[in-house]
Amino acid sequence: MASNDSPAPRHRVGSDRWFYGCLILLGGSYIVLILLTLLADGVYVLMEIFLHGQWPAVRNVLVSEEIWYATKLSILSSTITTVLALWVAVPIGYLLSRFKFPGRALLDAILDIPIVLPPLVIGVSLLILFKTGGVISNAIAEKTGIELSMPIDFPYAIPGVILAQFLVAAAFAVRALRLAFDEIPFRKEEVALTLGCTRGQAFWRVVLPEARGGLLAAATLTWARSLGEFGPILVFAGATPMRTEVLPTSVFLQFSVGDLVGAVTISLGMVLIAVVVLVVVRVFGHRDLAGRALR
Amino acid sequence: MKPRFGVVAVASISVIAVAAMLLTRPATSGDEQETLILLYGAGLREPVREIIDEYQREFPNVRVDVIPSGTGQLMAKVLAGEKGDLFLGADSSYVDKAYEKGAVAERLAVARQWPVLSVRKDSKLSIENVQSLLQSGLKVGLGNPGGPAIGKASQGILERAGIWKQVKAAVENHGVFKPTVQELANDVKLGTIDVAILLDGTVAQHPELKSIPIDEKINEPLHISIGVMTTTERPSRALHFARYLTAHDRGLKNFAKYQYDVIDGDAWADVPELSLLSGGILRTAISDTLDEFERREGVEIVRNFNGCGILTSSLKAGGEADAYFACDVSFMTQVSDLFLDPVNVSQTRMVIAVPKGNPRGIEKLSDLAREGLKIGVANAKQSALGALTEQLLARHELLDAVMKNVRTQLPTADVLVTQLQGPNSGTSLLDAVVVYEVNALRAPRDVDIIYIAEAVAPAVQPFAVARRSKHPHLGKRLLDAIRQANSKKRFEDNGFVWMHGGQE
Repeated sequence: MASNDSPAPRHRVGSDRWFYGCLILLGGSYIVLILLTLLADGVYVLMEIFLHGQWPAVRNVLVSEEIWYATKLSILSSTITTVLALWVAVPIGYLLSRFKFPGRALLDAILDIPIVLPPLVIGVSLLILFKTGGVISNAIAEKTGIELSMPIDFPYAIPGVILAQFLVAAAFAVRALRLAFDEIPFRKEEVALTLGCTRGQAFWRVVLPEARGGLLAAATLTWARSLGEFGPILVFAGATPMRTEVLPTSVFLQFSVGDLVGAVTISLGMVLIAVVVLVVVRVFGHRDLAGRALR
Repeated sequence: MKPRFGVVAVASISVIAVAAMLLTRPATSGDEQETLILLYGAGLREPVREIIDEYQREFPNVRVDVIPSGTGQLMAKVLAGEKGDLFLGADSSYVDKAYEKGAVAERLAVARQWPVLSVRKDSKLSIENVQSLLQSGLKVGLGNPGGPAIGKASQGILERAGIWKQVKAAVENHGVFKPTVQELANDVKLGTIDVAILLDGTVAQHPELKSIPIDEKINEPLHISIGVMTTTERPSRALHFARYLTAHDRGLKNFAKYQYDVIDGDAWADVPELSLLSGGILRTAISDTLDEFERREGVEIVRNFNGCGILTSSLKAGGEADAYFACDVSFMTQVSDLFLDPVNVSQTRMVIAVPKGNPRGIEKLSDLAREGLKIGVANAKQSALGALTEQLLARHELLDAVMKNVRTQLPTADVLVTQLQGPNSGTSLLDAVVVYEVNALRAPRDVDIIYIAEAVAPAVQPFAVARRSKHPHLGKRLLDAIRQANSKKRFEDNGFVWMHGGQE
């Protein structure tokens, strides 16, 4: 590759310090902003506890059965969503990355819809979808006597939470995986094919293992995205405590009754969960990747 | 290790299955717990929290979960079919709309609250009235007109003051619109805005804030009310909580504590007993409705069916009842001091009933005066029907002539029809009786009906709740239930003519 062959420059004119300084300054300002917001949350809660005697408000959140349920629901529904999303994102990502076919650009645009649409609109659309579906199935039942009914309830129920998360998060998973597949040279597959693999075998034995890092990245992105999902869930699955209340909903509910301390406490809890999960996934993921590289 | 399709598929399914299993709620051990979901206007936070705490202490097998938000947003949820049991709105107009759209079945009034101007207690600003909101540089906060009840109310106040456009522009420039009244209160508290239009009850929940009343000429109170949602799967538990919240010796005390102007609520009872006096004529028309009401509300109705003369006399003699469903308005007027605003529910005509085939050829009122007829009428002192019959005969100067034919005078018309039917078919003891059409229609196989052509006012059945009832609101809900469509059908099936229920 060209860059490796070119000789190192002999004379440096001026210093790189400015360049690095700019990088750090520009990038750093964003990092600092993120950290400052978190810090402000933390300081606010501590101040409320120690200066304004708001410990009871914080304790209420910590012992609240609803909040613990919302935590559990958030984590588990995001996990289910991630698994489901990967199952649809892998084929779509692979298709988009490897093949040229008519309508590819259109497909690409369709996949952008869940990313571009305001989350509330997605929730409303899901609600309308199920309402219309209900009207049509009722009409069919009246005309033909055939009862078409969903085996499970979606609106205002847990499957609705997952569906709402899935609709948005899968689009992000597709984007991430497509990039991952793009990075794997087509040559490797071709070699496998010439060695007698079928396309399926080449995919399972060569492409997927190569894409492991990308899969992990896609999974993390999907999971994190689902954990933070709020708008469509509020509209489509409701905010029923002990049923469809997820952590972002809890923050919203606490905030709307003017319980700022409670809202910030839950927010900090979410930050903690996200950080723990992301760190664990990265550490295990990297160890796994590193192990593979050694082999 | 190379991935295999089967392994990946099984692993995926197991992850989902385990997560799904963890999500299905474990059955509560021991007593089964009932859960209620209460959607409430966020401004009512403190009293609602206290009431729920007290309710759960008193009824430990019930859990009340809450969804607080702006009342306007909650209404949208309720209308969209969100699952829940109760909707407590900061203003009744929202609950009423949900009722009109069929999303709320019962409505119970709670309290009144007034929009006020609010600033921090240590504020140096001179805010005296809504005109003060126009001071330049003032950061004003308002509720979103489509969000909380205070949003719509504030717009109304400022429109009546003729300054809505100016204030709105000021808020858009350097103030804020918020989706709940509590968020506005928070903003004033934190100092991010200088002044907001809040509700007096909400201000009372924040010791840092003070309120400045708004001129009553442009102000209007908001009526807090709670509705039972039609999506509820446990209506009697939902109503139980709604009754608790609106009981003057339970939930309303908590509202009063925060300076809400509470209604004169019912007394609390776990299973309230409602005593109902009702004209015997109404028995078949209302029995099923009363049964349904008892089941839905979780209450007991002690029923006393009798001739209305007897019922009215017992009331005059100091008898107690929570509600009275009279056979005719004439009986209600005799005891009107004991009851509140009677509502006319139904009416029925007086008719002459004769044995099948009309063997004595009776065709008009005056025929009843013919020699040798055996006539049955209702007792004029003991029943509405008797009194009406007497008036009718007297008006046509037939009273004496008919009375000499009268063989029996009974307090209730049902028995007259039974006597007309005779012990065996075709062996009537009487030749004719004067009864309500409703009574005669009950025995179509044995009885023919002769309509009385002489213009005669029908008997009108009014329902009223006793002034001294401990459960006047429960009584009014019973009236509401009686005026529903399924009850109307029962009245019509029994031969009554439905009235619009206009007040007397």
